[in-house]
Amino acid sequence: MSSNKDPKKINYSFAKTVASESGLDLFSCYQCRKCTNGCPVTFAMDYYPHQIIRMVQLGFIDEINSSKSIWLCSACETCFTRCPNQIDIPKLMDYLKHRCLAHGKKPAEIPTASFHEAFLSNIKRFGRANETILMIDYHLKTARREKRIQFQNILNIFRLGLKLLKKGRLSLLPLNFKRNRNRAINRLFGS
Amino acid sequence: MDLTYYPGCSLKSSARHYDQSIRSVCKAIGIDLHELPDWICCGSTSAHTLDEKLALSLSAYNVKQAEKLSNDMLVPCPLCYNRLARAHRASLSDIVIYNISSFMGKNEWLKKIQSRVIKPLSSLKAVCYYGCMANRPPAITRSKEYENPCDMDRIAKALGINVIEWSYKTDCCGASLSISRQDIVNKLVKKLYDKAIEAGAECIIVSCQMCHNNLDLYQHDISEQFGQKYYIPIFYFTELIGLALGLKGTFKWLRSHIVDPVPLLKTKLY
Repeated sequence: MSSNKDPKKINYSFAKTVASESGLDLFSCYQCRKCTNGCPVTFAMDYYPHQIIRMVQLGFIDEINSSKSIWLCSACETCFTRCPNQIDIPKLMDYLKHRCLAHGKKPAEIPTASFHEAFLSNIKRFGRANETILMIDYHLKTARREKRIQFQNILNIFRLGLKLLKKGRLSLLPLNFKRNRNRAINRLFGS
Repeated sequence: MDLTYYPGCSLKSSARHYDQSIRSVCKAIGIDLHELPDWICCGSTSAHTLDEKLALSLSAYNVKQAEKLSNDMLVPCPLCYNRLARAHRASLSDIVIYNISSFMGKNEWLKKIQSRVIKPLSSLKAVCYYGCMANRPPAITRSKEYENPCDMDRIAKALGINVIEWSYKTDCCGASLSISRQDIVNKLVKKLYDKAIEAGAECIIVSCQMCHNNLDLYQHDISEQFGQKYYIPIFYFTELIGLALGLKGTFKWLRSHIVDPVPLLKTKLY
């Protein structure tokens, strides 16, 4: 479906789908911009939070899928806390990220998407996050998606890892491997 | 008092010293912590980003395990606290889940902490930085002071610290973006340093290990990137309780910081 550019032909079906699947009342947004004014990461966003909501209302699907903003939301909850219509905007951002991946679209922020995927596969394997393995997996996933290796980033994280290791703040191996790879995790992940 | 304790993944690795300081402080003021047996990760930001249902069920599993022990549960990591509180709200459970700084900021524990202070930290000027998840969104945390939380301020004052008011208590540090978008986090954290220093603080007190990591690990990089030398140690509030109460092990925790707080403490306290 392409985006609505003609105001006479606005298609609200996308907004209705998003509203019903996410359980959010997106039509109550009247663009007061309180979300945007309190958002800490607007300086890095391509669309502001209030604009994302407007884009959902008007069915700008392609623009949303290729937007950095949905990935840069740090889920700090400031917008949701202050929204006069109690719209859970971080939840909307999550829904849009999930939708972007589910439809096989390339995320605008590959490293951030790869981090979340690496984190989930980490806890699926070990039950608890292991930072060392998480970082390795994250860089592999990012490199595979970007089809290039960011040597500087890997070097930086390696240096940081060494610093933490020296301070006794890094576990190289998942210590609770067996005890936590229990039935509960398999059941929760549905495997 | 007996409490179930959910440390979370980071407190077992990069925030190990936070875990140690919490256990030590609780022991000193008469709280018996019982670590939740076989707890699993709460799913953190990544689970709710990619799979809402999974996020809820990971947290719900832990809440269910805690219910079996029937004690209330203490959760130091604000991210875990937020996730577990969401699952808790969806269930009909009688146990209470506490965020650590709001729990210790209650009068009962404040008095206990204050009565055991042997070395007041009165020459230390600090701001308290709460970050996001301990208080927001109030619909989940039930916090009444979500725009201007004061629990840690009260605790720090009980230790004699000169606590300074500032307007950036709940501004985001960028959290896990530090992995994928270091540039964003550096900008956010620089602002926090600048505003803390402008307010007259010599150090920042935190209760979140994500905030601690972002403020402590990259201080050198931020100094280099912006061409301005920063030296502003980041303390967990429990480490400062340890210092004021003269708890064994305090300096071991402090030595595992990347920004070494000892030079500041030497000029101020010793």
